[in-house]
Amino acid sequence: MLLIETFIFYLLIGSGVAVAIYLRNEQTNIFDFYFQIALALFFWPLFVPVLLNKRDEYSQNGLPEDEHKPVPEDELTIAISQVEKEFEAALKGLDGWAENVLSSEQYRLEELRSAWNVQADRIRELDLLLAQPDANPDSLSQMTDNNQRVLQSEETRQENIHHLKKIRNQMHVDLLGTLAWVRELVTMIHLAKFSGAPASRAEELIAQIAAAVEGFSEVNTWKNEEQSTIA
Amino acid sequence: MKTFKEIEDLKNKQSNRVELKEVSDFREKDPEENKLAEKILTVKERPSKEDISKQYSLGINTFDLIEMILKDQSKLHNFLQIPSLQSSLLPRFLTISLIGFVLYGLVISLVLTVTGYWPTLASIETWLENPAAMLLEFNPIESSWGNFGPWINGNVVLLIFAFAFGLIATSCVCLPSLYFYSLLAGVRMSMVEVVAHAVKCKAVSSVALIGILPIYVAMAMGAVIFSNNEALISMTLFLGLFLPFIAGMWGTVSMYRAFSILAENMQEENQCKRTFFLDRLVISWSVCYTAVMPVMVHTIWENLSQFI
Repeated sequence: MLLIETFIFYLLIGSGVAVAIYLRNEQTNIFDFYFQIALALFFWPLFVPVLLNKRDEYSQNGLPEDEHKPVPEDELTIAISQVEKEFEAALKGLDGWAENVLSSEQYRLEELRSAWNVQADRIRELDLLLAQPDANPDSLSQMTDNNQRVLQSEETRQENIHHLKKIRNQMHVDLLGTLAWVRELVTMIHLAKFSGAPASRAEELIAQIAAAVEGFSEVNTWKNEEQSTIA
Repeated sequence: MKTFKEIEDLKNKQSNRVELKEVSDFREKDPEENKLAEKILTVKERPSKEDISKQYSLGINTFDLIEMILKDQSKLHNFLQIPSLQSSLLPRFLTISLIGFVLYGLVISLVLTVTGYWPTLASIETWLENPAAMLLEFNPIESSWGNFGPWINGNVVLLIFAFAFGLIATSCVCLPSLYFYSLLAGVRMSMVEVVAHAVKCKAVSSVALIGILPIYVAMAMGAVIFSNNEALISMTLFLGLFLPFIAGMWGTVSMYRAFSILAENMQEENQCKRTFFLDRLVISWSVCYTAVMPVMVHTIWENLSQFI
């Protein structure tokens, strides 16, 4: 019969699309993932454009890749990537041990990673600013022959530059402190797993790591304000 | 000594105050210009792509999407403008649509059971050969299980499947037309974007369908309890089967609004030339969908009913 033949071919194509969706695997939640595969089997014409869409054209936050600045390979980048790798390995090692908290904290964990990079960017910006010649005492104040007003301005300027240096150092200390703390928690996750601690212990540790993002909220606010001013 | 951030905050606050004062003065002057002032405010308040992505990534589940459909569709339209969110929204909208249509099928089956009538379908070929014959008519349920016969012999499952699958499959058939019409209207959309908008339109329709179902059930119950008129009951049942068309209007309106926002992003010279195509785009697609949908549902229903 024509209907049966059509339905068989429809499902055949659908299973192909479902396999492609399975291989693409973008969902974090297992139920959502398998439900999406089932949907793709029956409603494959809706999923074909998604599969054909260039995946690399856009990054996770929906903005084209070229809108992102290239990340310089400095000590901060190396430290962040090292902690990210260790953290990733710890999460993979959990094998569904603390899946509930992982799925609920997924967004905060991603936010924490982006906050590290934002903080590192701010530090680099400040380093660039402080490396400029106008950050040092210059000849203008020397030429003025003890002009009180100029000297006072120069003094305030140096005070502000000193303040900037302090901010930069504080940010650097904060970032490295958080990275070190996350590394410590990562080893505690391993320890909890192999010492037979209850799953709630791992959940607690992951929640603690995710909570670290709140310490960076101030930095994110600055960044957003800066972007809105530019826009 | 104030920090740089504090100074910046202070400056921002001052400039915001000036802007607000200007807008309030502007409003007092001429009520006719209020619309313009509101438009300026709306444009200023529109969030950036990063804000929208961040808002989405903070965790929006399917129930939140249903709430947005009911309360704040502009938020949904904002989400749909972000390319990476379109593919993740698609299965969620599809889930909402399926839930809505399955519930509709269940409720209609219940109403049919209560009235004691069940639709019998003739094939389209038969109808074309003899147009006087009815394509769909309501006959009394004849089963040893009484009115629950269709629930036992699988007719209910068939009805639910025909509507749930048919209504969404129709969107799949009409997708290329929507893509073509949107290009004609000058709205530059990717195929994924078109799919996302079409499925969002279905989700809105299904939510509206669930909304109007209680009213319909009350009406149908009224017809059954207070009147034994067969023609009236038959008309009520026909109306029940056409409810997805009525609910579809909400989806169409939602699609029109979403496309209007997209048209605002077009170049100014194109906006004048092409924006009037938007009405035609939505009407053409609605006509296309309305023509395909009954054929699709009927074909699936009629063909599968031969196996029962």
